[in-house]
Amino acid sequence: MKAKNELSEAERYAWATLIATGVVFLMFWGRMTDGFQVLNLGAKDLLGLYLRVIMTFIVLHIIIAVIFAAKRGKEAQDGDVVERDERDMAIERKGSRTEFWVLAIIVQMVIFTLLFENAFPDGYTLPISVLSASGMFFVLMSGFFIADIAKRITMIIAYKS
Amino acid sequence: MRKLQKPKLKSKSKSKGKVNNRIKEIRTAHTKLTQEGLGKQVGATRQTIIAIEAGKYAPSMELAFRIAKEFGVPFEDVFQFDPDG
Repeated sequence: MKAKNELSEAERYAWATLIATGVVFLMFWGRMTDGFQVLNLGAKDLLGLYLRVIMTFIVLHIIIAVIFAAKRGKEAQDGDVVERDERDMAIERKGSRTEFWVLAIIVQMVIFTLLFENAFPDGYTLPISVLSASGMFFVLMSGFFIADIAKRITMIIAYKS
Repeated sequence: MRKLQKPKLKSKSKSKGKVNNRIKEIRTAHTKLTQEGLGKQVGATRQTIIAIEAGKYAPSMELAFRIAKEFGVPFEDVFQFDPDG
Protein backbone atom coordinates (compact mmCIF):
# COMPACT_ATOMS: atom_id res chain seq x y z
CA MET A 1 0.00 0.00 0.00
CA LYS A 2 1.25 3.44 -0.87
CA ALA A 3 2.00 5.92 1.90
CA LYS A 4 -1.02 7.92 3.00
CA ASN A 5 0.18 11.15 1.38
CA GLU A 6 0.75 9.32 -1.92
CA LEU A 7 -2.97 8.55 -2.29
CA SER A 8 -5.22 10.98 -4.13
CA GLU A 9 -8.42 12.13 -2.44
CA ALA A 10 -10.48 9.94 -4.77
CA GLU A 11 -8.38 6.90 -3.86
CA ARG A 12 -8.72 7.60 -0.15
CA TYR A 13 -12.46 7.96 -0.67
CA ALA A 14 -12.54 4.55 -2.39
CA TRP A 15 -10.71 3.01 0.60
CA ALA A 16 -13.01 4.70 3.14
CA THR A 17 -16.19 3.59 1.38
CA LEU A 18 -14.80 0.05 0.94
CA ILE A 19 -14.19 -0.18 4.69
CA ALA A 20 -17.63 1.30 5.48
CA THR A 21 -19.41 -1.14 3.18
CA GLY A 22 -17.34 -4.02 4.56
CA VAL A 23 -18.26 -3.11 8.14
CA VAL A 24 -21.99 -2.93 7.33
CA PHE A 25 -21.80 -6.22 5.40
CA LEU A 26 -20.13 -7.92 8.36
CA MET A 27 -22.81 -6.51 10.68
CA PHE A 28 -25.51 -7.80 8.32
CA TRP A 29 -23.79 -11.20 7.98
CA GLY A 30 -23.54 -11.50 11.77
CA ARG A 31 -27.25 -10.83 12.25
CA MET A 32 -28.45 -13.01 9.38
CA THR A 33 -26.33 -16.12 9.79
CA ASP A 34 -25.11 -18.61 12.32
CA GLY A 35 -21.65 -18.86 10.78
CA PHE A 36 -22.54 -19.92 7.24
CA GLN A 37 -26.09 -21.09 7.90
CA VAL A 38 -28.75 -18.49 7.04
CA LEU A 39 -31.16 -17.95 9.93
CA ASN A 40 -34.87 -18.15 9.27
CA LEU A 41 -36.06 -14.83 10.74
CA GLY A 42 -39.61 -13.56 10.90
CA ALA A 43 -40.92 -10.82 8.63
CA LYS A 44 -40.84 -8.14 11.35
CA ASP A 45 -37.28 -9.08 12.34
CA LEU A 46 -36.25 -8.89 8.68
CA LEU A 47 -37.90 -5.50 8.25
CA GLY A 48 -36.19 -4.18 11.37
CA LEU A 49 -32.82 -5.55 10.25
CA TYR A 50 -33.30 -4.13 6.76
CA LEU A 51 -33.99 -0.64 8.11
CA ARG A 52 -31.04 -0.80 10.52
CA VAL A 53 -28.63 -2.02 7.86
CA ILE A 54 -29.74 0.52 5.24
CA MET A 55 -29.70 3.39 7.73
CA THR A 56 -26.22 2.41 8.97
CA PHE A 57 -24.99 2.17 5.37
CA ILE A 58 -26.42 5.58 4.45
CA VAL A 59 -25.22 7.29 7.64
CA LEU A 60 -21.68 5.91 7.28
CA HIS A 61 -21.46 7.00 3.64
CA ILE A 62 -22.85 10.45 4.50
CA ILE A 63 -20.27 10.83 7.29
CA ILE A 64 -17.47 9.90 4.89
CA ALA A 65 -18.80 12.28 2.21
CA VAL A 66 -19.07 15.13 4.76
CA ILE A 67 -15.53 14.54 6.06
CA PHE A 68 -14.10 14.58 2.53
CA ALA A 69 -16.20 17.62 1.56
CA ALA A 70 -14.97 19.50 4.64
CA LYS A 71 -11.40 18.63 3.76
CA ARG A 72 -11.97 19.80 0.18
CA GLY A 73 -13.35 23.09 1.50
CA LYS A 74 -10.25 23.62 3.62
CA GLU A 75 -7.95 22.81 0.71
CA ALA A 76 -9.93 25.16 -1.56
CA GLN A 77 -9.20 27.99 0.89
CA ASP A 78 -5.51 27.14 0.64
CA GLY A 79 -5.73 27.14 -3.18
CA ASP A 80 -5.25 23.38 -3.39
CA VAL A 81 -8.43 22.38 -5.23
CA VAL A 82 -7.69 19.54 -7.67
CA GLU A 83 -9.02 16.52 -5.81
CA ARG A 84 -10.72 14.64 -8.65
CA ASP A 85 -9.86 14.63 -12.32
CA GLU A 86 -10.53 12.71 -15.55
CA ARG A 87 -8.49 9.69 -14.42
CA ASP A 88 -10.50 9.43 -11.22
CA MET A 89 -13.73 9.58 -13.24
CA ALA A 90 -12.45 6.94 -15.68
CA ILE A 91 -11.54 4.69 -12.76
CA GLU A 92 -14.96 5.22 -11.17
CA ARG A 93 -16.64 4.27 -14.47
CA LYS A 94 -14.54 1.11 -14.55
CA GLY A 95 -15.63 0.31 -10.98
CA SER A 96 -19.27 0.94 -11.86
CA ARG A 97 -19.04 -1.46 -14.81
CA THR A 98 -17.71 -4.16 -12.49
CA GLU A 99 -20.49 -3.40 -9.99
CA PHE A 100 -23.11 -3.73 -12.72
CA TRP A 101 -21.82 -7.10 -13.94
CA VAL A 102 -21.48 -8.53 -10.43
CA LEU A 103 -25.02 -7.44 -9.61
CA ALA A 104 -26.33 -8.77 -12.95
CA ILE A 105 -24.73 -12.18 -12.34
CA ILE A 106 -26.12 -12.37 -8.79
CA VAL A 107 -29.64 -11.46 -9.95
CA GLN A 108 -29.46 -14.10 -12.67
CA MET A 109 -28.34 -16.66 -10.09
CA VAL A 110 -31.30 -15.71 -7.89
CA ILE A 111 -33.70 -16.07 -10.81
CA PHE A 112 -32.25 -19.46 -11.73
CA THR A 113 -32.34 -20.67 -8.11
CA LEU A 114 -35.94 -19.49 -7.67
CA LEU A 115 -37.11 -21.24 -10.83
CA PHE A 116 -35.07 -24.36 -10.08
CA GLU A 117 -36.47 -24.63 -6.55
CA ASN A 118 -40.00 -24.36 -7.86
CA ALA A 119 -39.44 -26.74 -10.76
CA PHE A 120 -37.68 -29.43 -8.70
CA PRO A 121 -38.79 -28.97 -5.07
CA ASP A 122 -37.38 -32.37 -4.02
CA GLY A 123 -34.15 -32.18 -5.99
CA TYR A 124 -32.88 -28.86 -4.63
CA THR A 125 -29.58 -29.27 -2.75
CA LEU A 126 -27.93 -25.82 -2.97
CA PRO A 127 -27.03 -24.21 0.39
CA ILE A 128 -29.36 -21.20 0.20
CA SER A 129 -33.06 -21.36 -0.56
CA VAL A 130 -34.67 -18.24 -2.00
CA LEU A 131 -38.22 -19.46 -1.45
CA SER A 132 -38.30 -18.05 2.07
CA ALA A 133 -38.28 -14.31 2.76
CA SER A 134 -35.12 -14.80 4.85
CA GLY A 135 -33.27 -16.54 2.02
CA MET A 136 -34.30 -14.06 -0.66
CA PHE A 137 -33.53 -11.09 1.62
CA PHE A 138 -30.12 -12.50 2.52
CA VAL A 139 -29.13 -13.21 -1.08
CA LEU A 140 -30.28 -9.86 -2.47
CA MET A 141 -28.74 -7.80 0.32
CA SER A 142 -25.49 -9.78 0.13
CA GLY A 143 -25.49 -9.22 -3.63
CA PHE A 144 -25.86 -5.50 -3.09
CA PHE A 145 -22.91 -5.43 -0.68
CA ILE A 146 -20.72 -7.73 -2.76
CA ALA A 147 -21.34 -5.60 -5.88
CA ASP A 148 -20.41 -2.42 -4.00
CA ILE A 149 -17.28 -4.06 -2.57
CA ALA A 150 -16.34 -5.31 -6.05
CA LYS A 151 -16.66 -1.74 -7.36
CA ARG A 152 -14.39 -0.31 -4.66
CA ILE A 153 -11.80 -3.09 -5.06
CA THR A 154 -11.78 -2.59 -8.85
CA MET A 155 -11.16 1.12 -8.31
CA ILE A 156 -8.35 0.51 -5.83
CA ILE A 157 -6.68 -1.99 -8.17
CA ALA A 158 -7.01 0.50 -11.06
CA TYR A 159 -5.34 3.17 -8.95
CA LYS A 160 -2.45 0.86 -8.17
CA SER A 161 -1.92 -0.41 -11.73
CA MET B 1 -14.91 6.38 -40.79
CA ARG B 2 -12.77 5.08 -37.96
CA LYS B 3 -14.37 5.05 -34.56
CA LEU B 4 -12.57 7.23 -32.02
CA GLN B 5 -11.36 5.32 -28.99
CA LYS B 6 -11.79 6.46 -25.42
CA PRO B 7 -8.61 6.99 -23.43
CA LYS B 8 -7.65 3.79 -21.65
CA LEU B 9 -6.51 3.54 -18.07
CA LYS B 10 -3.70 1.29 -19.15
CA SER B 11 -2.83 0.24 -22.64
CA LYS B 12 -3.23 -3.53 -22.99
CA SER B 13 -3.01 -3.61 -26.77
CA LYS B 14 0.11 -4.94 -28.41
CA SER B 15 -0.59 -3.74 -31.94
CA LYS B 16 -2.53 -0.49 -31.64
CA GLY B 17 0.47 1.59 -30.70
CA LYS B 18 1.27 3.72 -27.71
CA VAL B 19 1.35 7.39 -26.92
CA ASN B 20 4.72 8.35 -25.50
CA ASN B 21 5.38 11.65 -23.82
CA ARG B 22 8.24 13.88 -22.76
CA ILE B 23 6.42 15.58 -19.90
CA LYS B 24 8.98 14.72 -17.24
CA GLU B 25 11.88 15.73 -19.47
CA ILE B 26 10.34 19.08 -20.43
CA ARG B 27 9.03 19.76 -16.94
CA THR B 28 12.37 19.23 -15.24
CA ALA B 29 14.57 20.77 -17.95
CA HIS B 30 12.58 23.83 -18.98
CA THR B 31 10.30 24.67 -16.07
CA LYS B 32 10.42 24.72 -12.31
CA LEU B 33 7.09 22.99 -12.07
CA THR B 34 6.66 20.06 -9.74
CA GLN B 35 4.26 17.25 -10.60
CA GLU B 36 1.77 18.77 -8.19
CA GLY B 37 2.31 22.26 -9.60
CA LEU B 38 1.76 21.07 -13.16
CA GLY B 39 -1.32 19.16 -12.03
CA LYS B 40 -2.81 22.30 -10.48
CA GLN B 41 -2.13 24.30 -13.63
CA VAL B 42 -3.82 21.79 -15.94
CA GLY B 43 -6.58 20.58 -13.58
CA ALA B 44 -5.23 17.17 -12.69
CA THR B 45 -4.08 15.51 -9.51
CA ARG B 46 -0.42 14.82 -8.79
CA GLN B 47 -1.15 11.09 -9.05
CA THR B 48 -2.51 11.54 -12.56
CA ILE B 49 0.59 13.46 -13.67
CA ILE B 50 2.73 10.67 -12.17
CA ALA B 51 0.69 8.05 -14.08
CA ILE B 52 0.95 10.00 -17.35
CA GLU B 53 4.72 10.51 -16.99
CA ALA B 54 5.13 6.81 -16.30
CA GLY B 55 3.05 5.93 -19.38
CA LYS B 56 0.43 4.18 -17.26
CA TYR B 57 -2.38 6.52 -18.23
CA ALA B 58 -3.11 8.07 -21.61
CA PRO B 59 -4.63 11.51 -21.01
CA SER B 60 -7.63 12.85 -22.89
CA MET B 61 -6.99 15.20 -25.81
CA GLU B 62 -8.10 18.12 -23.68
CA LEU B 63 -5.68 17.39 -20.87
CA ALA B 64 -2.86 16.64 -23.32
CA PHE B 65 -3.37 20.01 -25.05
CA ARG B 66 -3.51 21.76 -21.68
CA ILE B 67 -0.16 20.23 -20.71
CA ALA B 68 1.45 21.27 -24.01
CA LYS B 69 0.01 24.77 -23.65
CA GLU B 70 1.30 25.00 -20.09
CA PHE B 71 4.80 24.20 -21.35
CA GLY B 72 4.39 26.65 -24.24
CA VAL B 73 5.52 24.11 -26.81
CA PRO B 74 3.77 22.44 -29.76
CA PHE B 75 1.64 19.40 -28.92
CA GLU B 76 3.84 17.02 -30.90
CA ASP B 77 6.90 18.08 -28.91
CA VAL B 78 5.27 16.65 -25.80
CA PHE B 79 3.32 13.69 -27.14
CA GLN B 80 4.36 11.26 -29.83
CA PHE B 81 2.53 8.28 -31.23
CA ASP B 82 4.54 5.09 -31.47
CA PRO B 83 2.68 2.66 -33.77
CA ASP B 84 4.93 -0.22 -32.70
CA GLY B 85 4.65 0.51 -28.98
